[in-house]
This record gives sequence, structure tokens and C-alpha cells, in this order.
Amino acid sequence: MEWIPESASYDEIFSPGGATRGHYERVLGILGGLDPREIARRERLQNLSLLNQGITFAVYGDRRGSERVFPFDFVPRIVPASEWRRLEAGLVQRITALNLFLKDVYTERACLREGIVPWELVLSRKEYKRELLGVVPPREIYTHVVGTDLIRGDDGEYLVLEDNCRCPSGVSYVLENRSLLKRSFPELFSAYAVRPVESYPAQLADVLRHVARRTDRAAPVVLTPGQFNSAYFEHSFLAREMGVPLVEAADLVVDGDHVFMRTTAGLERVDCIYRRIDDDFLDPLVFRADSALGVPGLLNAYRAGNVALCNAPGAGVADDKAIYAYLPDLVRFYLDEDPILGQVPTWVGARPDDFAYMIEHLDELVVKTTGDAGGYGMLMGPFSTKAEIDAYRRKMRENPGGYIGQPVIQLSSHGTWIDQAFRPRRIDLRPFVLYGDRIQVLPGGLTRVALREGSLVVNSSQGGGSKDTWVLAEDGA
Amino acid sequence: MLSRVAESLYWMGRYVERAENVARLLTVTAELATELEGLDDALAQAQWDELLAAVGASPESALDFSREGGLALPYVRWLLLDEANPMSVRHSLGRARENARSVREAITREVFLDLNESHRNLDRLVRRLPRDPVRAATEVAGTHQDIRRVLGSMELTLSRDLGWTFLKMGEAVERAQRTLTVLGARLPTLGTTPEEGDLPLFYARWRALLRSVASLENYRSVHGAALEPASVLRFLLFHAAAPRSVACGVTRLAAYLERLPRADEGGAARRIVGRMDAMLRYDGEERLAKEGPVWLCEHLAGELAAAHDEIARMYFRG
Repeated sequence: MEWIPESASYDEIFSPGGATRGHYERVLGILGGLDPREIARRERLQNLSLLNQGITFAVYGDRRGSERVFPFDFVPRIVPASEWRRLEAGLVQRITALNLFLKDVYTERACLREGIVPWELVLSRKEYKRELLGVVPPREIYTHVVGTDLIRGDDGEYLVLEDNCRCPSGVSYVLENRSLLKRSFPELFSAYAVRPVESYPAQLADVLRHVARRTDRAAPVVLTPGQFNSAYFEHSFLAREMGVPLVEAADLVVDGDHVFMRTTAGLERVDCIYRRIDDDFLDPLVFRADSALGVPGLLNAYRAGNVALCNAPGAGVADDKAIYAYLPDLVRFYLDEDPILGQVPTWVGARPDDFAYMIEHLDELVVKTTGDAGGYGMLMGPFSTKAEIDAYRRKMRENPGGYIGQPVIQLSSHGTWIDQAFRPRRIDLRPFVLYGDRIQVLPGGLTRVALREGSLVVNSSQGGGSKDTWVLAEDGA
Repeated sequence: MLSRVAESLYWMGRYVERAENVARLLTVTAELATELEGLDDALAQAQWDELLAAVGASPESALDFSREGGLALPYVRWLLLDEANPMSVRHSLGRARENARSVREAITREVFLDLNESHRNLDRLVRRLPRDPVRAATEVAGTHQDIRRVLGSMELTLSRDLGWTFLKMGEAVERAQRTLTVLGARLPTLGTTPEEGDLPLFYARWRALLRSVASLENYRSVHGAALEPASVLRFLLFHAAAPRSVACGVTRLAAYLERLPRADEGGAARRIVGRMDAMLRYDGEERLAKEGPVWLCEHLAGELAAAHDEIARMYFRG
């Protein structure tokens, strides 16, 4: 069976000379011994298993509200132990700094007073919630769950692409992918010491209890927008795995600054909410009066300290695309350390020099609007026509502060089973980090893969798939 | 337990039971109608009309009941597969699955998996509709088996907690209602004494009645092979050990109600169900003799519906 290496970007499996990297040799050996018909049979079983278990995401805009499976590729992505140790330290450092930054922004504002980040940049963010000024969440933790997106540059260096500090999703796929691969390709596991990921729900439950006021008899719940949300499977999966109720906003009611859920036995107190809905839809009395999703009075209960919200409302200001540019400075400011993890060079429209550079170099840059997520409002300079670039430039001049620019980064490539061969496809990595009594990084993560040849877009809504991600217990193991 | 979750589980129990009931009624009716065809075509047709009455379904006039492919085929398609028909097996399984999907955290993986797979199997069937009666019968039997597997997973894997109680309450209400509606639809035409020379036909129809509520073997083990209409009727109404009897369903329902929180506040539902329970135990025979079976069935169906309303008011509206 054929393995095709990648020449245009860092190949995870093959070194530039074409030799197989040591930690992939056994995978290649085992897969090479399988008949393509056997592989096809196992792939069918995998797909059937996903469909039957309802491991699907809803596709927006589809009239029938149809459900699709997130394509799974069985070639595992392998991270050696030493690589992971560095990533882990870098993530812990970064998330420590992000939390110190959030506390600072909502209380002392030292980073603003000392000019590390410009005032107007922070205060103009949509995710900055002035209603929460002076409110410190339980145990000063803002980001209980973070999913940091990492990519690898041409030299294989891991770079942070994005910090997701609000409601990062995907961890259910990390667990399901592992269980799926164990069933369909068990022989791969016997050749490696792969660190398990199954403890995640228990760890998450510990985090939620840690921040609840009545830690002894804390009643955490998962709050979902409902079964038509694209990540509903994950919400329900986590509630089930943690053994806690999955609630919708209409199940909750606030009385006397305490949160209760409506049960068959009457109202029951809720201490901690792992909320999977955006800030704007939490409480119609505070954020959006037109929201049908929220729980009126929830923010007052939170301000009174009677309920913990995970992640804390207002935490989104930390993963803003413009704030991202200042993260290395913030790490130095709060921790007096150099950042362990690199990140993508970023020009910030709010800085006049940067803006001038962006305007001149649009054809080489990826430009993003700071408010949007998921690739909306983005310009991919090298792949755009002159007319598109000119139109975009005019829009940028109306609101320079709303844009950031980055060079096009080639994602690393990884062999992926497509059309009877192992072909290189671009991947990223989203590890999940929990912040409770300490910061813990789940040894694994969601590896997303762009299944279309040459594509850099790994999103599930745009032709992306995923892989199991193995963190090895020891190097070479 | 969240009121919303309790309600979803209750309806999941009802819909799975309904799907099972309709699948079984389809099999039994198709077999009896086949037996009758040629012998008495009008009576064969009447079996299908009564089935529609028994499941409370009224087909749209546009529905094609021409006899292309046999008498049974259009009924099987409509009651097994037509999503737009609220009494079809597919509709019921779809609703059961929707309810299960909205409370996945409250049920086991096995239950959801089996329910999801049954539903997907029906979806596949819709894309290649059965065109001959043998295939149709095979598909109904396959679906019926799928549903029994769902019921088996529930039995094997679900925790006997409050959620279970609501699920089983839904099942008990639906099952007792179905026995009552089947009796209500079949009784008027069944006759209580065989006409001259018609004993085999008479037996076939009473046997089908018992089979359509999965009670033929159970009846025989109590009364032997002779089908005596009066004892069949009493068996289906009052026999406490028969899982499909109305008395069994009401007794179960009364016991489930006692397990619910705030049972002492849940006055209305308890009162209604307790009253039915007592009547079926102590006054059933007398009321049957005095008011007749049709009145009794209608009365009990009305009481069950009232009990449902009270349960919903007390526990589902939060």
C-alpha cells in the first residue's frame, strides 16, 4: 500500500529525506500488512457504529435538520512524550496568564494602566462585559475549560493559532474516536503505550464541584441550547458521562438570587452550571432582551456568588483575535517568563503602523474580523481576486480596529486513508485544558484533518474530519 | 429528576409501546384477513377497518386502498411506514427516538443505540417499499423484532430509578389503552355464540383477538384451548396476571404513582387510578353484567385519559 509524503509543509510521518519518523514505524508496519478490502470493511463498520450511536452533528440550514457523522480517519496522529511535555508546560503557562489577564481586566486593570494592552482595544471588544466589572468568579478561575488550537509550522514548531476560552467543543470526539479506533483497529494499540483519555468527564466533574459554593453537596448541571444545536451530542455526552442533569434554559428558574431547576419533586437548587451557551444568551435581563434561550436573573445569582458559571461570563475577551497579538507580552507581564509556545505573527488593525502594513500586503495575508468566529468575514489574500481584495480593503478602512492580519501558515500534513492510499492532508490539534484545583491538560486532543487535497480548512462544516490523537507515555514507546 | 426529562421518558415509554402494539396488530390482522379472503371477502375487509378503529387512525381519503398487490399491502405500508400517519410504527419510533435523543444523559447507550437502529432500519425500508405481501409480512416481523430488542435493552440496562418509573408509567397507560381500544373495535362484530357450521371461523376470530394483544398463550394456560368469549373478555379485562389485561396495567400504574415524589400531593391522579383499581378488582364483574362490555371499555378508557392529564399537570409542567 502506498504512502505519499508531503513536500509543501511539515510531514508528521516522514522526515524531509523520506525516512519514516521513528514513532510512526510500527503504525506503518501494521497498516501495511492489511488488505485494502479489510480496511474498507473496517471503515464501513466504523461509519455504521457512528450512525447507530447517533454520534452526529446537526447541519445548519439543512431543511430537514439532518444529522451527519463527523468523518473519522483511522490513521492515528502520534505525539511523542517529550514533544507533549513541552506542549503541556506551554499550555499551562498560557492559561495561567489568560486567567490573570481576565482577573486584571475586570478588577485592577494593571495591564491597561501600564500600557501592555491599549485601553480602547480591550474596552471596545464585544466580549468584554462591563456589567461584570469588579465581579470575581469563585476561586478566581475564569476559564475552566479551554480548547487551544495548535498548528505546526514548516519546521515542525507548534504554534498557538487560537485560544478558545468560551465554550470550546470537540472533546466528546476525542473520547469517541479513541473508543472507535480501539474497536476497529485493536492491533495498533498493542504496539504502543498510548496515554488514556477516558478520565476527562470525571476530571471535568471535579472542576465543576471545585468552584461550587457548597462543594460538599454541589449539584452541577450542563446547560445546553437544546437538541437542535450543532454540538448537542457533546452536551448530552458530557452530562451522561458525568452523571449530572442536562438542562435547558426553560428548566431553570432564579428565585431570591438562587438558581433552581424544575424537577418532579419541585424546585431543586443548582450550584454550578457548565454552560454551553454564549454569554449573550445567558440572561435576557442583562445581555440580550430578545433572547429566548436565557435564564432571567441568572447573572444576579452569579454576582451574588450563589452559582458558578463555567466558563465565567466575560471570559471571551481573552480569546479575542486582537488580544491574541498581545499574549506573549501578557505572559511576560504576569509571569515574568518567556512564552514557551510560539504563535502566529499578527498585525493588529488598531495599531496604525500595522494597519498600514495590512492594507499594502492584503494579497499575502489572511485577514480576519475580530468579532466573528468560524471563518466568517475572513479574507484569504493569496486565494482572492484583485476585485475581492479591493472591496475588502474599502470595508477595512471603515473600521480598522475590527481587523487583524496574519501570514498564511501551512498546517502540517499527516497520512490519511483516501482512495486506496495514504495521502497527506493538513491537520491541526486542539488539546483540552481543565482548570480546577490545578491546571490539567488532557493527554490527547482533537486532531482535525482537511480531507480535501491542498485545503487548509479543517472545520467539520467545511469538509473536515478527525483522527484519534495519541500521546505516548514515553519516547519511542 | 427534571420535569422535562420525566415527560420525555414517559412519552418514550408510550411511543415504544405504541409502535410494538401496532406492529403486532398488523401481523395478526394480515394473517386473519388472509385466512378470511375468498371465504368471506367482506369480513376480511372488516378486519382492516376494525384495525384502523383499534389504533384510532383514519386514513386520508386520497390514500390508495385499491387491492394492487393484495388487500394487506396498502394498510401495511400506511401503518408501518407512513411518516405522516401519526399512528404508524415509523412515526411512533421516530417520536420515541426524538424523546430519547433529548434525554440521552438519562438513558443508557444500549437503549439509544437499539432505538436509533430500529428507526434507521425503517428509514431504509421507506426507500424501497415492499411490493408484495410476503415481503411486507417479513418487514413487519423484522420491525417487531427490532422493537422487542429495544424493550429488552430497557429491561437489561436501565436503572430502576425515577426515570424508569416514568418510562414504565407511559408504557402501562399506553398498553391498557390499546387493550381497551382493540376490545372496543372488535367486540361489536365478534358475536358471542358461533353460528351454525361456523365454529372454525368463530374460533379464528377470537384467537386473533387474543393474539393481537399478545395473550393467546397466556389465556390457554389459564382456560385451556377452548375459547369461551365471556372468559376471553374477562381475561383481558380483569385477569391480574395477564400482562396485557386492563387490571394489570392499572395495578402497575397505581404502584408507580406511589413511587413518585409528592405522591401524597398528587391527589387527583392517585384518586382516579385507585378508583379504577378497586373497581376492576371488586366490582368489575357486576358492572360488566349491568352496563355491558362496550360501556365498560369506554368508561375505563376515559378514566385512563383523565389519569394521564393529572400526571402531566402534576409532574411535567414543573
